[in-house]
Amino acid sequence: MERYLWHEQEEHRNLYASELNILKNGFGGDFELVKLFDVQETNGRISAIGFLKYDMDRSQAIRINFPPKYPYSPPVIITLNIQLDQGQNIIAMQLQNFGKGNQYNDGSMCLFRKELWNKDQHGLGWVLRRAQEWLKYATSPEGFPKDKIVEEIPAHLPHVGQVLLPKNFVLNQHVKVTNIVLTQFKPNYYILEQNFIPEYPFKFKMNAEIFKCYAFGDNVTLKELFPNISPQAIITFFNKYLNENIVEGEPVRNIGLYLPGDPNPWHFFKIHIQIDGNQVFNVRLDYYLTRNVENELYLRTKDVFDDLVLKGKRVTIIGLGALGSEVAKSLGRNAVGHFNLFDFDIFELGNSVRHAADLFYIGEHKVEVVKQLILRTNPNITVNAYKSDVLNDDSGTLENSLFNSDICIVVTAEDSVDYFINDKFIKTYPIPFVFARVSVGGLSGSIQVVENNESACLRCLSREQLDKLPVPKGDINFVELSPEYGSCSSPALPGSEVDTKEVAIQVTRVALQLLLRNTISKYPKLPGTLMYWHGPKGSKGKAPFTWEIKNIKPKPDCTFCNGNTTI
Amino acid sequence: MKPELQKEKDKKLLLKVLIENDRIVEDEFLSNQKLQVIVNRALEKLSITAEGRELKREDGTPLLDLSQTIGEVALYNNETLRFFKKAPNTPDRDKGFA
Repeated sequence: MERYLWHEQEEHRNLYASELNILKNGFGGDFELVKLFDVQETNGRISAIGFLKYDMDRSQAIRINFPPKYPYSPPVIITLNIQLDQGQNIIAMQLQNFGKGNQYNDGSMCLFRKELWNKDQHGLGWVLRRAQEWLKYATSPEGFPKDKIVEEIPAHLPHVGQVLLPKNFVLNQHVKVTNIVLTQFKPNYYILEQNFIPEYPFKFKMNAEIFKCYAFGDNVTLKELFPNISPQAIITFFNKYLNENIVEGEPVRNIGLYLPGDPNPWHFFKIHIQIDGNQVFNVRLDYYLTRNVENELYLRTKDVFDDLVLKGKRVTIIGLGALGSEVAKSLGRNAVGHFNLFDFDIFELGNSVRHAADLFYIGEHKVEVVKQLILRTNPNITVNAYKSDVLNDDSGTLENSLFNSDICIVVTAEDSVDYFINDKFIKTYPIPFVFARVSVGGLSGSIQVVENNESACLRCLSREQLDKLPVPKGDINFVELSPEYGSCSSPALPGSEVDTKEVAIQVTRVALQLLLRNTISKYPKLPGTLMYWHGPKGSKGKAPFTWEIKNIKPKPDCTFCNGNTTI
Repeated sequence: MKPELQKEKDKKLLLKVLIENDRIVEDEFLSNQKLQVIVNRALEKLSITAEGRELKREDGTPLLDLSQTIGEVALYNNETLRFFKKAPNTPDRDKGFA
């Protein structure tokens, strides 16, 4: 198959020639080409090295890389230190980072916000002019003025991996040195979980490693400790700040730094030391960037669903199949802080095509599976997983859960469970109950919000046949499935993940609206309490892909929800 | 006129004008010719109208005063000017994420 390379396209012949002309012709005297790479050397990319003049009489070695899909994406300019021989051939070359921000760790300049690039208006010349301006700021003592900072400032040190801190972790002032155990969950990725979070969010522990952590004062910055990661800088750090001789001790040191004055106060490193006799032969530093889950996780959603409110909410979910698993995972992703989960079923092979989990979880209880999914979303969430049949529970666990919950979601699609909850609990527990199911084939669905004295219960709805699922249009013949191997339950019903998920998403949205309804949330209020999904085929009189929303009040004479008569 | 000034005046520059769809025109101009001459040449040879277009240098600097001469704005030999139809800075689509 042929690769699309812009410079090989007939439609860019003149553009290619004009851009190449800038390189070869010198950009009006502002650019001196040193090397135009043969495309064989650059995997087909157009790439050149040269000196760009700026600020009257200064010049900087740069590498210009055109993306293969130019001009839809701009050229990248990388600053270099190069050494030339007498024949102007490059004999040494390394990235140059100016340490003033607006530059990525690969040395490329952040020249403009990417949405500013317009392929018809801009070209290499435009980029080079911006690069000249960039160099003026980057080489000035003041660096970039605030209004010229166009991208986030990259981390001071390039990192090889990350450390997840579930929440803020502050060392007592008197602690100067301490050991912290980090659990590795994949190569170069760690989480602080020991003595910190009650349950391990990831399935496997690759390793548990001790990092010796040093606390510094409020005014110490990472930049001061490690101006760069050269061997000399690392040796200086050991001598000057830790008062330790780097040649003494293990060849690989795990260390952590606690810098309370730093916006990101924790930094972790692996330092690889090669000794030759009593001399340091080589030192290498692997830096692990710390990410604070509690502070960072909900930044993209908090304006929509207030995480500070939702993290105090508790949700009980009965049934953790295709609907329940997606609802649970999604509520976790939207900051709900506590879950009580009920299901006695085992996750089997056939479940994996429309469940939130995948084949990895085969053979485990669905409540444990979903618990893992939630904790992997946010390890700070508390999840109580009950492997129990709510109709066969004599421990009072369900009642206790409902007593402590803000909402209950019933997604078993079993009439016996739905009506038991409806008949016995909606009057006892003053919380909203959400019942949902999808039809055979997943081609329609319904959601009922039942709240005592507020909305019709399942019994009220059944009196008007409103508890029925919409009947999809057209004839559909589904192949009857046989019971899953090793299971004595009824065979599963056919239906795709994509259609089932539509209903799951709506259940999640309804739950969030209910949880936030007495807050200052600007998210639209729940428009109704009875919802029908008419699915991809539509149903009688209803267009495909539409939701029908109704508000049905309780029947005044309903003995189940209105409290006129005891059951 | 001093001989060196006359020489400068007679100096010919090869200039190119690139427009959308990778169409281009190139011609020689004298440095005392006005930018309007370049535009007229492009309009004629490329059979286009000036409406909605803006002449720009290869570094993106707009050349708004077409009564200036090539020498006054210091165009250089072999420079490729751009005469694209004005396009919005960003595609005319709503901001979104995916």
